Amino acid sequence: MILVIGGVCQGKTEAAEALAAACGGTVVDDIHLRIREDLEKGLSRKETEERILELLSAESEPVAVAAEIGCGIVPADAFEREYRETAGRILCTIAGKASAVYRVMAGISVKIKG
Amino acid sequence: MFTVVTGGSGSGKSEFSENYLLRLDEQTGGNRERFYIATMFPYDEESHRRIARHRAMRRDKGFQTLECYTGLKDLEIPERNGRKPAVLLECMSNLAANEYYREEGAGPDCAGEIIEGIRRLRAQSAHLVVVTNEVFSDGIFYDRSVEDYIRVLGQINRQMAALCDTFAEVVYTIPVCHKGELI
Repeated sequence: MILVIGGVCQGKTEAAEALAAACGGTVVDDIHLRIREDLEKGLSRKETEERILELLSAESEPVAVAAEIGCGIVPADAFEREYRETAGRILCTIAGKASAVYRVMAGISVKIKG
Repeated sequence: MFTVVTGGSGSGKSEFSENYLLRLDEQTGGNRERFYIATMFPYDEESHRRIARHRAMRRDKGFQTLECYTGLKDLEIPERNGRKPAVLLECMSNLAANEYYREEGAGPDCAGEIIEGIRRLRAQSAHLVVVTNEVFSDGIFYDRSVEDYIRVLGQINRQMAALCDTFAEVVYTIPVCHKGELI
């Protein structure tokens, strides 16, 4: 599995598509939004993590893409805090399992793991 | 060595910092006293939960906890057998918020006092790791005091980065080094 992260609108999807084309993999985009949707449905952090990992393991060569959302002021709203923290923890797990992690800034992709 | 570790929420920067300080100690003789300077003021149930999670994480790492919510520059770290200890301060964003917003704090001009505190802490420790926080990229406009707090934390981070040997960012458990070298 490959993980591609970075801020919003930085060219993560394009970078992921190029990586997927090179290894015959499949892009699984917007992991952070999938996490948010699950939490909005009332799923726990653990259930959400299991669902996301299941979704990724359904692909033989998944290239997971997520926006980094943790670099701001602690949100005043409890759900927003839970979303931010949960997305961080789940992406830590995915980064641990990934053979390579790329971070994309202004279209420039830097390999930070693997 | 003076190391500054930054990262976003849920990035794994705390766990990385604890393990990094242990590694620094072990690679330079080991068995120093270990202090954890806790700066989060326990004001509600969520902060108590967060503190409990951090305590559990460092349980078997031999840290003595010192609480410091404001007034870092007056903190005295005990020395044992003439050997300076290994010290972890977590986290600068809380310390700065306490100084900025709390009645007993130094107020909006707290950056200078905090940096003075960091210099004194550095002088009292063999190794110092300070955890700070990336709060600068959410693209949201806040009210004046929050915008000003962000400015103050940015100023503190820049000054610590100038003083430190190593500045690292933790990205979902992966350390990315911006200054010096990680061991």
